Amino acid sequence: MLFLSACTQLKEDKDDLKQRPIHSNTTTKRFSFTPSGQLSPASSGRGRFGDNFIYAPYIRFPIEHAPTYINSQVYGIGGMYGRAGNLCDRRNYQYPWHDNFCEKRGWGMPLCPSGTGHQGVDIRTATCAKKRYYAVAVESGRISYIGKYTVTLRGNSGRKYRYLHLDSNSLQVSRGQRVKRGQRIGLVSDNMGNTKTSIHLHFDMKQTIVIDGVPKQVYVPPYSSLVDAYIRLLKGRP
Amino acid sequence: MQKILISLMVLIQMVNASGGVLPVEWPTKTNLQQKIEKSYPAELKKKIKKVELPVLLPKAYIFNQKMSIVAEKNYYAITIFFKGANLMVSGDRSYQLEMRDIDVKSQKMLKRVKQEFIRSEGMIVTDFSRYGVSYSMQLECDNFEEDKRCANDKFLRKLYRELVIVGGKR
Repeated sequence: MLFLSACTQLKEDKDDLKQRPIHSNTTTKRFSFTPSGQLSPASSGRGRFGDNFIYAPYIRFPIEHAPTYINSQVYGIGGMYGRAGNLCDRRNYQYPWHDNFCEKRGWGMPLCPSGTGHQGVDIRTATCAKKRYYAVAVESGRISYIGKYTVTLRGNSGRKYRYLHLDSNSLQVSRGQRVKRGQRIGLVSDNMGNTKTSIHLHFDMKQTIVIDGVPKQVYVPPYSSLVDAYIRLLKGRP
Repeated sequence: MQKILISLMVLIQMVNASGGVLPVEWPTKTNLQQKIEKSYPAELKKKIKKVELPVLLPKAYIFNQKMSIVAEKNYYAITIFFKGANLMVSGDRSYQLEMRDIDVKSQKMLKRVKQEFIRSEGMIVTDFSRYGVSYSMQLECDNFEEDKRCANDKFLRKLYRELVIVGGKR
């Protein structure tokens, strides 16, 4: 009974967290975020609305310092399908955060309501400056892959985290290297091989879920885990 | 108070969450396979000898000189370097969640999941289970818009069909 009561309280608390801006003592700007799965603009697709499950509890936020902004690159100002303007428009660099997991893409995504969508979330750094802000390891583990524009960290939990668009020349890690939670990986940039993209970090998480005895490795929603991690970062306890 | 409750909520989720290591369903090894495995490059054999799951690689690239091997007891990731592209093949015995940990809607979605070859941020990726554990293949091209290997899933499908066991500790 006590447990149920605690759970109800926790659920209420979580709902409260979902709807209200969080005030932080460690930053002058108010952090706020829209609920998980609520994509913006609405025309950008259908997210996993109501899925507040924290798939990766207690991860470190993947960018070293706040503030950062989670919102759409494609549907934001200056994006391919966004309002006309500059990608560096200050309106792209403000709260609230908007989930963009499952945003419209032509790619297969089993956990998206439409069956296709964005496999991670896009995170903008504090400013539009290229190669200034470090992406860091969200948990201790090992660097399993480094490609032209991708770094994959296999955490000790077994989760795989992909960091995309880092500047190749700034990488602080090598293939097979063991890293600690919070260790620098590389500078956020606009690297996508020979194709240009905006300055942001694409971050996604893949994990194995056993369904009817069969392991299924899928991209899981990172947004709730990132909100939780970011609040800790703002409080000075990343 | 709110901070304590949020922390408690995450903690409860961590305690309740499943996770662990999957049992491997090892296939029977023939004498011929044992003989073939002996001929594999010493460097490859040395690096994967402690991996406790079948290590898969496309047979055409077992002797490729340009590869990077990251291997642990329950996990491996081998990257093969082609000109202008990388192929990563990985296998993992770990799992993080079970059906009971996720909501009913997600359970239904996951039950329908079949192996697919998908485009993921310019790469072609496929995830599949074999021998009771998880595997993944990822093909990344330097120039994914023009490189035919990344234009569709044909090349990765070909590599997938060519996967063979090259080692692993039973």
